[in-house]
Amino acid sequence: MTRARRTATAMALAALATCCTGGAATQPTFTGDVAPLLFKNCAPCHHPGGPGPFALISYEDARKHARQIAKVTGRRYMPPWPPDAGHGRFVGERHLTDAEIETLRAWAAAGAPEGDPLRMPAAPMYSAGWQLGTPDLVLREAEPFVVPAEGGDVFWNLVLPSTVTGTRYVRAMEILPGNARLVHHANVLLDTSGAGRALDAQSPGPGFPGMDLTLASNRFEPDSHFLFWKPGTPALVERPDMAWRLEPGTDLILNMHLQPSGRSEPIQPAIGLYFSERPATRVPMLLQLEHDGALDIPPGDAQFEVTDALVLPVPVEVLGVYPHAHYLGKIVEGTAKLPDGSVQWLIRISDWDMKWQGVYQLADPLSLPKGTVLSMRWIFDNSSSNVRNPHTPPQRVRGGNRAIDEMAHLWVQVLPARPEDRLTLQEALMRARLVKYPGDFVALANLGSVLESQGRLDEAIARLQQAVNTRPDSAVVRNTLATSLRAANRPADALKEFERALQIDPAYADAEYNLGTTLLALNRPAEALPFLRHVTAAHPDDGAALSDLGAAYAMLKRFDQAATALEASLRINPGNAQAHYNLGLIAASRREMPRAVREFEQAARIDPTNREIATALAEARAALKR
Amino acid sequence: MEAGRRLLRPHAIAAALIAVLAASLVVRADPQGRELTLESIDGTPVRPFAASARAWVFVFTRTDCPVAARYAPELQRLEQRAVSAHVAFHLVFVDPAETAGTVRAYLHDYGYADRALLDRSHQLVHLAGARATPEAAVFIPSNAGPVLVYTGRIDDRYVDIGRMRPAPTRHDLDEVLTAVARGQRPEVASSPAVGCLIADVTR
Repeated sequence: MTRARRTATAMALAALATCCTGGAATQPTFTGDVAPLLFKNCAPCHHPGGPGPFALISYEDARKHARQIAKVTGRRYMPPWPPDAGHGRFVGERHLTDAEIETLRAWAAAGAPEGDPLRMPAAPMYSAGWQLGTPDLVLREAEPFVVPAEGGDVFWNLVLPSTVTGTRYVRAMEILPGNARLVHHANVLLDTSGAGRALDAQSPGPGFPGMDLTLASNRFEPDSHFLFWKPGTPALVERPDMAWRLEPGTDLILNMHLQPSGRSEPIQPAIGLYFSERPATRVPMLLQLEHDGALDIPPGDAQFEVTDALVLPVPVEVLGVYPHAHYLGKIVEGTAKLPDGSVQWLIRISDWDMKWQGVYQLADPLSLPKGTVLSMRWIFDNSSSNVRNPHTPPQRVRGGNRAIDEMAHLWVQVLPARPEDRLTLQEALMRARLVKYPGDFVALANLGSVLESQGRLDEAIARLQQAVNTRPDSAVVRNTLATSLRAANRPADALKEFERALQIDPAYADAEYNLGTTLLALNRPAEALPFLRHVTAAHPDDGAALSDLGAAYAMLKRFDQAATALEASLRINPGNAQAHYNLGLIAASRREMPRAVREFEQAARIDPTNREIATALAEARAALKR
Repeated sequence: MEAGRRLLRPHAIAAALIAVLAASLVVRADPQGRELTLESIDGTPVRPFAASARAWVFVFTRTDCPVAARYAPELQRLEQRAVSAHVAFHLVFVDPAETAGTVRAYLHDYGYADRALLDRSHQLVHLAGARATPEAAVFIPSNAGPVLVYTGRIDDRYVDIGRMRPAPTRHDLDEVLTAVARGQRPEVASSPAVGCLIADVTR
């Protein structure tokens, strides 16, 4: 009896609650509705020690920013996810739905009620250290860089020598910014040219200023990976078949966009690298759509358009995109028009904000057939209504590296079906560049180099000759031209160009080596010798040069020196069939037939189809029997 | 013609000024303002209008507001200007949950002098009509009590949260200081402040 009455009372109370609170029954609460949204979308940055300016973990955290949260989510400023919904699907998307935004608005409007504490979901945990465990290599500047207390955006570069002694394959990279709240985003560039070090030496303290760097080595080389980091993103883990190469002598340049916080603060970022034993079996490629040459934006123009397009000469899979412009960028669109006429969005950002730029990896790789047209379209706003305009009043703006200049870029990371397709793509890129910039040195030099690699020597020589005419002081292009001339069986012309390259840059080891080996091929070992000796003295770990030095000595019948050089070459590269073959010939000429047979056998094992080696081995064995 | 234009011009300017004042300059004299009591970071009661000054500047702030934090160097310059013009200058922390220790640490970290007011019950916030941090309120003395002559932004660098100019094009509080230092009322009585909403930390 008692039990029945209690139940009836409880039911009556429940009915009363439903009848009298009306719409309030659906009123969102922190524990029931808001916390799950914040934990998923906000807490990755807004946690203690995180890059967000305040934490959004506890009820008290959220209550103190409730209306602010409603406001910034209402205008979709937060969570920061610039790509327009429905224009490509990306890894790590942070779009709130309209219903979720309404939940946050209604919660704030209701006075940010906490709700039942027992319904509070488990708060996410974040650790301050390396997310993937201790890295195999940690790179850190010895001295911190001090970010000034105030002023505009700071673009700063730290040069971190990689210290690896052999080729390593990087399967993941993590950046600990040192002070996450100051670093808006960062790019890691690989510099094999020493250009970054030179700039660092010219600037006091650690690092040097600069927004967009132009280094002699390619921006994303060697393996066309986007090494882009922004706060709240996990470590950059590569696909198992796509580790990127880190060669000895490479500097990692951490190109950072920093925001002053109101007080001067030191930062000492660290890069953690995780190595793989396995080299990449798939190598992506970065296709750059751009037309900086078309950037000449009159003051007051709020709709200045820049476009670019590339017809794919081979099928590819698109893996990711990276749009890039500065403060005048307003809208960017990337599309792929397939041969059947259908159009796929790669990305669209209708409210470009340079501060929230990022690399966007496609949620599912997009397969595009040969003949697809990749297109980029940028709209720039150089009017005074663009509050980010660096000039007041607006001024004419052209393309360039400085923050007050502009850029119109869309990088598209693709995976070609076959390794050789990279050359075909590079050729298409450079031909497209020549259409935009007729007579462009970079396009001519790169196109010539591609054609040379493909064995299309006549056009390679013509293009490289054009490049040399454009910039006669380029030792690198003269060396490539000479290599093409040699391949085209024009050794005399090749020798002249190698010599010119060395006159321009006497320390240019590649040209010196090529000159030596060309002389050797012309049966002029005495003339080749000084060049090959010089290269091997400067680069004692250059196994190929040691092997050729040994060959030169052997041709001059200086067998002891030849054997020493060849043996040194084999210690570096035991798989050099030519060095074994030459050692065999030296042994045979000294009548050391057992040694000759051993060396020829080694050579034949490495290069079993080589007739010259096979013949020598047969003769040596016959001689041994006699 | 020329003479006539010269005669007309002052009238036209005056008419325009009156129109501006009528539209935007809403001044409020508060006879009780003199009695308003806040708290210092030492925990002692402070009557901010009790000390005589040419004007009083209050800048509302909180320790967890990134927009307010970024204004620290500019506010320190403005404080120096104010003090040299015999204008009182106070930072006013509006979050009742903030302890004196938190506020002290913040002042130290951002290079401020070790003094500030705490407006836990938002008396001054209401008097000034402030809505965000950082936001300034400027009062001048009158026989009827302190008169509010400006409430609004420090400058126009922020247009909205996350939307800012590379540098301000208008230094509103600086202009107000110039006016009150000359014994004049500022031309503009209010401007929209961008920052963290004070309503979020109302008890």
